[in-house]
Amino acid sequence: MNFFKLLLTHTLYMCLELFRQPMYLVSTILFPSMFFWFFGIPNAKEPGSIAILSASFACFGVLSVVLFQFGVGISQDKESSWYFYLRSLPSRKGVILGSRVLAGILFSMLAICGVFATALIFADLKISDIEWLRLFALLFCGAIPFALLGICLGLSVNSQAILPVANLVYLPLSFAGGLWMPPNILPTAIQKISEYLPTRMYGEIIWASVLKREVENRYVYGLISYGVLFLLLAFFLSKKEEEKSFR
Amino acid sequence: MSPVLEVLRLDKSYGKKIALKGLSFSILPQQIVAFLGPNGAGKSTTLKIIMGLRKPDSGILRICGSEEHSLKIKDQLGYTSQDLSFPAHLKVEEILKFVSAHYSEPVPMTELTKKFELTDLMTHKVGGLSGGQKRRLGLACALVGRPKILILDEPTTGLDVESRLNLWQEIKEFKNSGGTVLLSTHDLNEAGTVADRVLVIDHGHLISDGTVEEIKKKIEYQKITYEFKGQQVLEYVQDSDQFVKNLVLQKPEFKNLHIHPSTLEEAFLKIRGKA
Repeated sequence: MNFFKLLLTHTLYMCLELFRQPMYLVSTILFPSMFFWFFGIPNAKEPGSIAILSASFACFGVLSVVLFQFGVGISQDKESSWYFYLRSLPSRKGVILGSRVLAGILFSMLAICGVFATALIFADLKISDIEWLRLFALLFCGAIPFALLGICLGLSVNSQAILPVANLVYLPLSFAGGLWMPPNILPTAIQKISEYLPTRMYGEIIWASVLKREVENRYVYGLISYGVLFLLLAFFLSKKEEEKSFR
Repeated sequence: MSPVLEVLRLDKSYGKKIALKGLSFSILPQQIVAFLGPNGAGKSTTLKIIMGLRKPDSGILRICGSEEHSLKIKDQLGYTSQDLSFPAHLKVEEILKFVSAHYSEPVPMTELTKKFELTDLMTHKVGGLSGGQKRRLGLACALVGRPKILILDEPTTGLDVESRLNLWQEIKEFKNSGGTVLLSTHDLNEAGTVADRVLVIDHGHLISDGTVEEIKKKIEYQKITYEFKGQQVLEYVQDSDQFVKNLVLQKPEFKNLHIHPSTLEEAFLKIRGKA
């Protein structure tokens, strides 16, 4: 079977399964826009802060989709025989993970669009102010380390615990990373930690993009380092998971 | 006739746990083979290796003459796993379409749904199906690609008597149309109703290979309990008639005699003790 046709078929059915779960849609797509409306809009007074805050909550939206899609999804998959069955079918390597990535991109798009739509309606954002293509590209590339973190969580946490664990990881990370409010108004202690968090690095890259400024290299390299770290950890954990699944 | 499935000296361990130790067997076309062994014997691991879901540490796996687990080979295999699950929010129809999308010449949907009595369930979400209905859907999925070899991991788990009979019927039909079946079970009697041949596996290697009758002679034990001089006695024997005759002669004051067929796990404990 044609690789791309099969990839699209897998993506279609994965999306169908997710779209039929209203709670999934609410928590991954609606929450970021809602949080933005509650906590972001009141502080978005002038063009600079409007751009920064909508970018921040877009990051937060991508983060929630990615951690749910990879963390929760993989945690449930590793205990489901359906996933095993899928892997036994004649399809090329990469179709299953590929469909997860494609579905992740689709849902992230919806989350991002939700946040910017909120900004257009309530905060007077100018569409022409932002280089959209560049912004979307950066949002997706910057999400890769978090997808890998999601895979690590999914592999190491069982499906009953994964929801609270995913929330426990991404809510503090997004807050301390300055995605809910600018880093300079965070409590001092948290400001110090913030510098070293992947969410802060992600945010810095995206803020620089919407403000059309150069991003500091240390944030880019920092985020890449996190990516490599999570990649190695994911390899290690997948090996371990195979050992554990033996009965 | 050359074998459709050959396994040669397979080794597989997960960390320190050894799952398979030099497992070898081969299966001829149009055989129904039951793979019998207690929990943890390595049945599922072997089936997963055959399906390409696990890699053996060493050894050779040859399917239809090929050592490479290519897409062409995967095309020839149909599989149902031990604990069936499906995405709960998809409909029966969607699952079948999804699985058939993997094959170039899938069995037409109507033929499949009629055979497995799924026609009335097509628009139902899979999450609401009963265990038996799920098994039927699983088997339909395994057969949709017109496989040559059917690999069924404990296919009767959760089935009622009627569905069980239907399953055996399907398996026999599949064999008569030229197919080969390898199914795992830990019930020897169950294996007896359908299998031409039984492979017995324990601790990751083959300990017996023969017809159901031959295997029964080797591993069928009766569990006997009775009281003797106020003490509870437990014994496993192969010939319970002879045992009872001896018991009456030698310990006539026994009380409360019970005879049960032993479970496979108990039989294996006994066999290991003898070895």
